[in-house]
Parts: sequence; structure tokens; C-alpha cells
Amino acid sequence: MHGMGMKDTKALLRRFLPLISAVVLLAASFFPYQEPRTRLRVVPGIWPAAEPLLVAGDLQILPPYRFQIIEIPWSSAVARAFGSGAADVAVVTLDGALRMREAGQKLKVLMVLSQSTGSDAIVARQHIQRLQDLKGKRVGVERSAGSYLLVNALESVGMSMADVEAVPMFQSEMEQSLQAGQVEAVVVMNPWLTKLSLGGTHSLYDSSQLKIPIIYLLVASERACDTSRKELVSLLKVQAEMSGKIWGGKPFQGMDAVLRRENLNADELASCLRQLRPLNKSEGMKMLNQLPQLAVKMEEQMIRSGIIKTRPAGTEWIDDTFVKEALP
Amino acid sequence: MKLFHSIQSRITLTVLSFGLLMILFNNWRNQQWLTERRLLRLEQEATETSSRLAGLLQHLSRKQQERAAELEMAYVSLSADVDLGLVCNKEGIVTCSTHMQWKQMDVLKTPLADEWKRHASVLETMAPAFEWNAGKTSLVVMVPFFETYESTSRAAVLIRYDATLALVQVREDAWHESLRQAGVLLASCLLLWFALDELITRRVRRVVEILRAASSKDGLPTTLEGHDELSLISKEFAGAVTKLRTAENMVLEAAEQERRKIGRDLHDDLCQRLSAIKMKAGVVQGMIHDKDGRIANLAGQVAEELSESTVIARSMAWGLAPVGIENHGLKDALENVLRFAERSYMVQCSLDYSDLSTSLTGSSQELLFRIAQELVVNACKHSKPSVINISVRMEDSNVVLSVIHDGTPFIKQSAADGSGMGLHLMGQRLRTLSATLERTVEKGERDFSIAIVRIPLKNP
Repeated sequence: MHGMGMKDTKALLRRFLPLISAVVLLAASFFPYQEPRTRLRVVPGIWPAAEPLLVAGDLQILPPYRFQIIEIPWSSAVARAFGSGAADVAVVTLDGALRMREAGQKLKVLMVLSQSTGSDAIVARQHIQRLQDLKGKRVGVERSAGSYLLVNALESVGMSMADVEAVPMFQSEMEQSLQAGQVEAVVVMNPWLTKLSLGGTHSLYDSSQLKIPIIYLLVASERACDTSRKELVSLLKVQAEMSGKIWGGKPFQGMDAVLRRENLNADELASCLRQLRPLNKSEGMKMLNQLPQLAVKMEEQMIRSGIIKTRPAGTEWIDDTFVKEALP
Repeated sequence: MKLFHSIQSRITLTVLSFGLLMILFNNWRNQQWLTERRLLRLEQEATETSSRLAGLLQHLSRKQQERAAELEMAYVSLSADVDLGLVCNKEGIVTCSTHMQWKQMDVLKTPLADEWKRHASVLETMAPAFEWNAGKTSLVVMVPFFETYESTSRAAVLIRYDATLALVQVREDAWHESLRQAGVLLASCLLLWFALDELITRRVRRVVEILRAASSKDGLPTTLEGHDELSLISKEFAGAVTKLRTAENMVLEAAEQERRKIGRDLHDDLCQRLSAIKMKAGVVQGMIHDKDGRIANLAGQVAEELSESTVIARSMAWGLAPVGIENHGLKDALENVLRFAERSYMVQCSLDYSDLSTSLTGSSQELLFRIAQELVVNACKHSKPSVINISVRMEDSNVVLSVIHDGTPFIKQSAADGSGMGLHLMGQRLRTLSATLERTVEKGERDFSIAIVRIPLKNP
């Protein structure tokens, strides 16, 4: 019986060997070429909300062979880099994300990082005491980052964008322009807000007064969501971990790099951080679930004020599975 | 392990081993080539980027466009190979950086302090510098420019590229390709193994079977189909065996003829002469009348010994030509054998005989007799029977000889024990007659062993 069994096996093998060989040959011949090894390219921007990822990059908690942290100082440049495919992950505000979606960028919101509670403000020279005084005046604003705050501030006193002369400028130019009298007020965010506050200016309106707050989001391209899930989950874990350390109220490893990068001293950094409220796991998840409703309201206002022209198409732009996997 | 002894497996394994060696060699060459190409590309990128950046920064700094310079540095950092990029003035203050934390810092406090010190002369010579580290994993490029229209306002772009990841990618690409090639080789070797099995191994086995059959079986060997070398070998072999068989038959026939001639000569000449001498000796004995009768007695002894010699000579003549002598034929010859068996082995013998004199030639009858003789004597010697029956009859177009006995069944012994000469000769005779031999055992109260010889009449 054993002999017969062996014979049968051999006969079976002989019968299927050509077929198996042909399949192996075809599979090997058409075996796909290896995709180039690419790191997850993260563009956090240079603002306090992005510091957890920047510090993680400095300390190589995000391994350099898996993550490339690219420092781009302008929010408009961040959006362009993300839109052109030069970056896979970015830290943007909700209004920024809506503008990117309107421009046709395919992104997914993976996590809500923090909420601005005074980190963005309209700062004016001494002789401008009320928002109403801005009527007909020149106001410096970075279109991609300050328009939403300015529109809300003006609407709160019955004015609109047409009542002021909006002067486009970068955050880093605002201090000099204000001091030089080129503009009467500026829409500024941290860390420049902290610097300006120390220079004798005063705030007319800040983000804590907004009905729909400025919230910072971590967004990723749809391609990255499909191809780099593992890296994205690691990124969210590290973000949560570093956020806890930075907002822990104590000096933390890598703080010297943060101070150099933001050009602040320790007290100024602490002040900056106080004006941003990091969201813990449950708050972040709750906010993520509320994003569609917040976005609808924000879109209406942005369309009304001409910041965007149409409502962004598509509904699948929030993916909470990453954060659920990273922070179970 | 037996699998690897076949030519088919050896050829396949040789091809596989050689192929794997070639793949490894190719992998080594590929890695060399891809590494050189990748490093060259990195050098080109470093040269182009740093030169372009230096020119652009010279323009932007003269126009006091610091923000644009910052943006340019940010775009430089988009390159996957850039580790750190700085723009420093002559005093060593960083005016721009791919990492914002180093902006406005003393370059000697940055990670590129050593590189700056090593290439500080660039600001004097205003000639760009490129430097690979010893392991060719890190490239530093420093390109000078003038910040303002003053010739003393010198600055430089200092960029360090890290080639580690690029080289890892090169190695992975090379191994990936080698793995793919190994897969193709493996599959090809499997197909080769199969092709060799179909085209060579199976046919070689068939040739071996033919060779074995030619030495052990009757009839002519078969040949392989086709026109390849193995087919030619089998055809040539079949031809050689046919010639050998013909020669063997001729030798056998010649031997039989010689035996018959000697037997006939013995019978017709010597035996007749001895008979005549014996009669004369008897006459001489009657004619001698001596005193004591000693001479007459001696003549009688001569006559008796001559009579015995005549019997011996006749017996020898019969042994050499058992069939046809004295016109008794095959039946008498077979009866003689049975009588011999009865006398020598105390076996009860019987013969059933149908007349075949018109069906078989004389030499064929003699060959049939020799076969029957071998079967009977062998049965008596080795099987210890109590009864033996010989039957000769016609069945269809065959002459059938059956030898049946109640002794122990026949067990074929190897030729090595030296007892195979009789069987060997019987095999030769069977082949000459184109006959077949079949042995069976009929079970019953007593078991009977039966040997059946079938001689086709087409070639009697």
C-alpha cells in the first residue's frame, strides 16, 4: 500500500508539475517591481500646535528612516506642499482644511490636536481701541491663516471685509509693518502674537471669542492613508505622547530646540502654550465627531464672506479609525 | 537521496546552481552599478541645488527678501536626502536653515560646525567645495555667494546630504530583482526537470527495460519510437540481438546436425562392425578345440565384451541422435526418457502422444525432445515426484508439450549457483523454436506442477 501511495504521489506530481512550474514562472516573471522606499513626509508648519511632532522629529522619536519632518514656515506653503504631493501629512486649521478641500486636495482628517483659546488675535496700535475703529483702515492678514478670525471679528460688530482694507502679509512681517505704521492692525497668531503683545500693542479680538473655534487638525493625503497606515498610527501615538509632555507644565526634553525654533524664552513659550488647549483622547474624539456640523457652519460663513466660493465636494474626509487604533 | 543520482536531477541541479551563482554575481554587479549611479545623481542634485540656491540667495539678500529665502530653504528640505541645510554669513551666523531652530545661531553650535570649520576657506577662495565622508554615506557641499554688492559681504550655503537611505534602497532593489530572477530560474529548472523526464529519463528507462528483457525474455526486443539518439540505440540493439539469435540458432542447428551425424555413424558403421566382429568371435570360439578349453573360453569372453560394446555404442548413438534413428521417431524417444526416469528415479511415468511427424521438422522434433528431456530430468532430480506424465498434442496452430508431476513446484534459481546450464540451453532451444514456456500449479487433493511449452507452427 505504501508503495502504491508513493507511486500515486509521483504520478500526481508529474501531472501537475508542468502546471505548477508554469504558474511559478509566470508569477516570477510578472512579479511587481519594488516600490521605492519612501518615508512618511510630515509638514507640521511652524506654530506651537505643531511642536509635538517637531520635537518628536528633533529627538528622533519619529525614526528618520520612516519619517521625514519638513519645516515649512508659512501656512500657505504648507498647503501648497501638501496639495502638490510633496508632503503626506500636515497640521492645519479647520478653515485651512476646508480651503484645501475646496481647492480639490484629497485629504482625510485623522485627529483633532488642539483648540485656539486666544492664540490668534487681532492686534492694533494704541489709537485703535475698538473693532469699529478699523473701518476704512488697513489690516494686515495672512490670507490662509487669519481671514476666518477677521471675518468673525468684523461680523461681531456688524461689519464685513468690505469695511476694511485687507493687506496680505506673512506672520513674520506683521510686527515690523505694524511698528512702521504700514497697517493699523494685524491678524496675528502665536508665536508672533506673544512678541507683539510685549511691544505695546493691544488685542481687539481673539480666538477665544469665536463661536466656532479655530481648531488644529492633523490631516493626511488619501494616498498616505492607503499606503502608510502603520506609520500614521505611530505618528498619532507619538503626537499624543509628546502633547502630554509639552503641555505638562514642566520643562521637557527638546524644549531648548522649541525655544530656538519659536524664538521665545521659557516664559513666553508657557504663555503661548496656555493660549492653546490640547484635546485629550475623549475630547479629541468628540470634536472629531462634531467636525462635519462645525464644518458646515464654517463653510456657510466662509462662502458668505468670500473666503471660499463653493462648498467642498465629497463627504468622506474624516477618518477616525486611525485615532481609534492609535489610542484604543 | 536516490533522486539526485539521476542524470535528469544532476543536470537540473547543475543549471540551478550555476544560475544561482550567476544571480549572486549579477546582484553584486547591480549593487555596484546602482550605488555608483545613485551617488552620482546625489552629487548632481547637491551641485545643482547648492549652486542654484547660492545664486538665488545672493539676489534675495541684496533685495532684502528674507522671507523668500526662508521659503527656498524650506523647499530644499523637501529633498529626501537633505539632512540639514544652513545659510551662514562670514561671521558664522545662520541666516536661514532647513531646521528653524538653528536660525540666528552661531554655526559652530549647530550639527554642521565641523563641516563649516573644515571648509571655511571657501569664503576666502569663493570656490565651492564638495566632500564625501569615508564611507560615502554623507556628502557635504558648501557654495559661497556675496550677500550685498560689497566684496567683503561673503556668505555660504552649507548642505549635508545623507545617502544612507538611498543606499539601503539600492540594496533592497538589487535583492528584490535577484529574488525575482531566482523565482524565474527555479520555475525554469522545474520545467527543465520535467522536460528531461519526458524526453530523456523515461526513454532511457525504456531502453534499460528493453535491454533487460532481451536477456531474460523470449522473442525479439521492441524498439523506441522516434528518430532521436535513444531510438537509434534501441533499433541498433534490436538488430544486434536479431543477428545474435540467428547465429545462436545456426550454432545450435549445426551442433544438433553434428550430433546426429556422429550418432548415425556410430549406429550405422561402428555398431554394425562390432556386431560382425562379435559374430565372428562366436564362430572362432566354436572352431577352437584345445585341451583345456582356455583359448575357446577367451574367444567367448571377447564375443561377450564385443556384445556389451555394441550395446554401449548403440546407446551412445541413441543419446546423440534420439529421434529418427532406426526410424522410431519422437514418440519412442520420449518413451525412452520415461523408461529411464522409471528405472533411475522410481517414478511412475505415462505418455499421451498425438502424431506430429507431419507438423514438425526433424530438427524441431529433436529440439522438442531435448526440452521434454530437460523438464523430466529436472523434475525427477529436484521435485521428487511419484508420477510424471508427458503429453504432446496440437492446440489451434500450436504444438503443445505438457510435463505434469506431483512433486514440489519449480523454483527458479539464480545462475550464480552453477546449476543453470540446463535451463540456459533449454531457453536457447525455446528461442530457436520461438516457443514459450509457462509454469503453473494446479491445486487439489494433490498439487500438480505443470510446465507447458507452446510451439507456434508458423516457425516450427
